[in-house]
Amino acid sequence: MSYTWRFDVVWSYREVFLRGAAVTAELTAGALVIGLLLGLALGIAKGSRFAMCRVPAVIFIEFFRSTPALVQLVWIYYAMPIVTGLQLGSFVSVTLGLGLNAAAYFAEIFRAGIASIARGQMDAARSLGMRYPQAMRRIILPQAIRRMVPPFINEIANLVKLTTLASVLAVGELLHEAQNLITNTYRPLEVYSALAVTFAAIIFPVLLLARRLESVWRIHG
Amino acid sequence: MIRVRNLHKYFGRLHVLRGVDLDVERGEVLVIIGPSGSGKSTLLKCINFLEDYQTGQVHIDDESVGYDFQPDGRRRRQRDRRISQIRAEMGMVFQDFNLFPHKSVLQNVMEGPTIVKREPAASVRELAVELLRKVGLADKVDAFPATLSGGQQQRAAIARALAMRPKVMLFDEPTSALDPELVGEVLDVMKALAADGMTMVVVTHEMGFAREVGHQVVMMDRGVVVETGPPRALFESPAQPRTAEFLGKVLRS
Repeated sequence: MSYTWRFDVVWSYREVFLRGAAVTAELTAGALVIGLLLGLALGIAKGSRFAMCRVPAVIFIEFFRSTPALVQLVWIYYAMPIVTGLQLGSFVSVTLGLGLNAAAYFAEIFRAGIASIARGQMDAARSLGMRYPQAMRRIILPQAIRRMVPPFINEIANLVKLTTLASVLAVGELLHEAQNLITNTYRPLEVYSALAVTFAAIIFPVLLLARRLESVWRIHG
Repeated sequence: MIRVRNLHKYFGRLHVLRGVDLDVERGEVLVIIGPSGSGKSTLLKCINFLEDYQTGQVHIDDESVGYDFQPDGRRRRQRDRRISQIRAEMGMVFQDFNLFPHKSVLQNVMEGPTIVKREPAASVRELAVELLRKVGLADKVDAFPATLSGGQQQRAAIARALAMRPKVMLFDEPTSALDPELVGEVLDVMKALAADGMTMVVVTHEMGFAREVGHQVVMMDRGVVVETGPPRALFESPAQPRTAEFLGKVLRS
């Protein structure tokens, strides 16, 4: 059985991959911003001593972690207009959906990271007269974030790959562009392989940066 | 200066403080002794409201700490801003030092005055360097806590608390986490502080320090004050059998 690999065909369509990669990066960046900000708020709320803060945060987190991201996107794009009359564009729907999904996972990382900083650090900050937000910002979070970097990087790598779900809503990210290319070239093996390489090219620098940060922080206690 | 009346504290169903009364005068060094789990540390943390309490009152300079009491006897938790202001007037030193590991020794000491009091960095730096010199850490100004010995860390923590120019210093077993040969250097700093007239409340197992530096010694057991008195009287002729029993055990070892 002989198969002739034709990567030259894929190479001649390299612009398609660049275009797709740009959209993938935009989706990731947008979802990341939503995920980090909302995730921080949710993570702090989940660790709160007030049930009024804690319970809604827990419900949100568990809901988004226990339902498929694909279904969440379908809900936002197709079901939300029916229920609320609000129709978002496909790009915005994916960014929002992945952002909410990422927030649920980031929240757990924030909560665990904050909890891992010993109670004593909060006591010390409070005993100096710092108010809670000051203690969080200046003492707890700077330490917690260092411990959060490895799990964060995992989540970001996952998020980049989750953006492929956008192809379902016909957003022109990498997978969607690749599928279009397959129908034109009939070269699925080459196209999917090139797709994998492109994703690796996006994710690998992020992993490198993380390792870099970890070693810098190890030196400075 | 500090007045604690009928203080009760529960952790869930555990009744850790069962009606504590305590008075600390200005310039006084009050030492609290007693077995583990007797509520000493909890009492200290109630004084600057790192722990809340269920009934009773804590006053510093006639100001209620943590709660405001209404004429009908009901109480309301003070606002965070108010509680933080009261805490800023009390320095606290912890058993585990709790220095901020991501900041240098100098930054640790400067943190309170610059962030909480918003004093200009230049004058705070001068004060911080002076305090670090006083506790014998002039050469460790730019070091990070992880590179210091336990005794050095605890002295830096004392300087950090002093930088807020507190009215009173609370010490929560400041030498219990230290190797025996490092205890002395921390106690020396505390003795110098007492000699300067600082008001101090010290929870400790160092009976030598209690005897030598303490003006009053309070013996606690199972959430109540068993006995209070000047160190000489309390150590040499304790009025309560429980005190005698405890002293017998710790002084023998």
